[in-house]
Amino acid sequence: MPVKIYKFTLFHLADELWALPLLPTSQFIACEAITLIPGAPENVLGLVYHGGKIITLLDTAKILDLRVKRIRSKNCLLFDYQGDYYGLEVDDGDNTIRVKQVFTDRSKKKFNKYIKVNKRKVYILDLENLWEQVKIYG
Amino acid sequence: MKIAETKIYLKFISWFVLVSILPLLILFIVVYSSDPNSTQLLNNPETMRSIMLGIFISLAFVFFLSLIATRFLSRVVTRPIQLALNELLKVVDDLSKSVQNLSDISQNDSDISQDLLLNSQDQQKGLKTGQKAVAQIVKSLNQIAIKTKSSAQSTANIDKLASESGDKSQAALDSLVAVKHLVTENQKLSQALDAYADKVADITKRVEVLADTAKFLSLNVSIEANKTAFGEQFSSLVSQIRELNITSQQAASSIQALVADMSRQIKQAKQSSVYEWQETNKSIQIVGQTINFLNKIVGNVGSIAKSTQVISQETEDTHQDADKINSMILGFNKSAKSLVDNADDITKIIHKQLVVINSLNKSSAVLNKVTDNLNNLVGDKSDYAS
Repeated sequence: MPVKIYKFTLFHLADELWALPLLPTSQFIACEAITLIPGAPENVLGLVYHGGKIITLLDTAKILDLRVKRIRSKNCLLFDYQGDYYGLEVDDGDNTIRVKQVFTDRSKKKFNKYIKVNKRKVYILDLENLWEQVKIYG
Repeated sequence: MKIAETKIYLKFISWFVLVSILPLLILFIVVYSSDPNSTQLLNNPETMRSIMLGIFISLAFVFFLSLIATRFLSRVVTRPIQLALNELLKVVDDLSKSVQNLSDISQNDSDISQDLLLNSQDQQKGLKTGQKAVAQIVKSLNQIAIKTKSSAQSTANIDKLASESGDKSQAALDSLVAVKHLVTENQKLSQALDAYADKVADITKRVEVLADTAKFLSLNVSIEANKTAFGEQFSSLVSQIRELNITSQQAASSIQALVADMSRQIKQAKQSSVYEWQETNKSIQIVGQTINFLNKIVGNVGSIAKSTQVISQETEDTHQDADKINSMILGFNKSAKSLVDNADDITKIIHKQLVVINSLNKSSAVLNKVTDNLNNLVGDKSDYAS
């Protein structure tokens, strides 16, 4: 019986390591010249143009309820969802890894799934929880 | 002529009367002693009257004869005495006048001598005071001369120092101009370095961008490698790109730190250069002003040195004049001393004159007394004159 492999792209945010499931369009980009959008949800920082694509930049720290020391980061983790491009503002990028097991932290209500990297818990920013926080898709 | 007023007449008359009465008394005494009864004759009034008449007549004759004799004898005796007395009176008058004149002269001489002595003493005191004053003037002039010479020497030294200071200030000014030139060159170099630093900063930004690109490349290669089924085969490539990313980031950080440090140092050097340039400009202005002041000081010191020389010359001349005055005062002092000696001699002579006058006065008094006695004997001058 074949073993299921999970792939995650790691990133640093607020001195913590987080993991985003690997998506077909995942890549790290430099997001500068953010265009603010009036009436946008509070977790949306604005729009960024990159390589012919309009990217909605999300405030990852606010979504994950983290406190960051810096004002704004230029590192952004790009991914697509239902034909739209989104970017997660991160402090810094990290490797893309493969793991064989995903764990669940029952003590947390959201973002409670995690993987282990070097015996260290790395929580997963899963998209379902993400959209629940951002509330773009109702 | 009043005979009664002439004492000698009275004496002679008295003598003759006494001489006349004495024989009569002797006669009466002899008669009475030889015959006491003869006194009875006196009881006779006629006899007594005759005797008394006889006595009276005889006394009258005696008186008359004595008067004539006295007159004759007195003329014989007093004539030469009168002549001598007249001469003596003239001599006494002349002597008295001479003594009076001599006394007056002596008094005048004494007053003059006293005045002369007082004046000489005052003059001597004044000369001593003048000599002391001249000595003090000479002493002061000597001190002034010494100090003037010292001042002249100091002024010459100041002049020399001022001249040297002027040269040194000029040298300092030249050095400052050179420093200013160097500072200007330094400023140009700083500006060039600043421009170079800007270029390096621009390159650093590009390197930073390159490092970021490499970082994103390494991260995205890792992502892309895991998207395929053969991702493990790209692991070594990903690792190399990852190392490249790390190296690029380290190089970028080092270059960034280096550029920041260099920019900071260039900025400091620029600020220091501007500050040095400003300070050098100020120093040049100050040194220029100092040179102008020193030139003025040199000019003033030169005029002061000339004035000091004039003062020294005048002091020397005054010193010589004071020496002359001192010599004159010494001469005056000698003259005053000789004058005092002469006044002393005159005083001694006057004293001698006074002694002689006193003796003459005494002699005159004695002579007057003799004359009075003679007058008493022969009568007043007016009597003989008649």
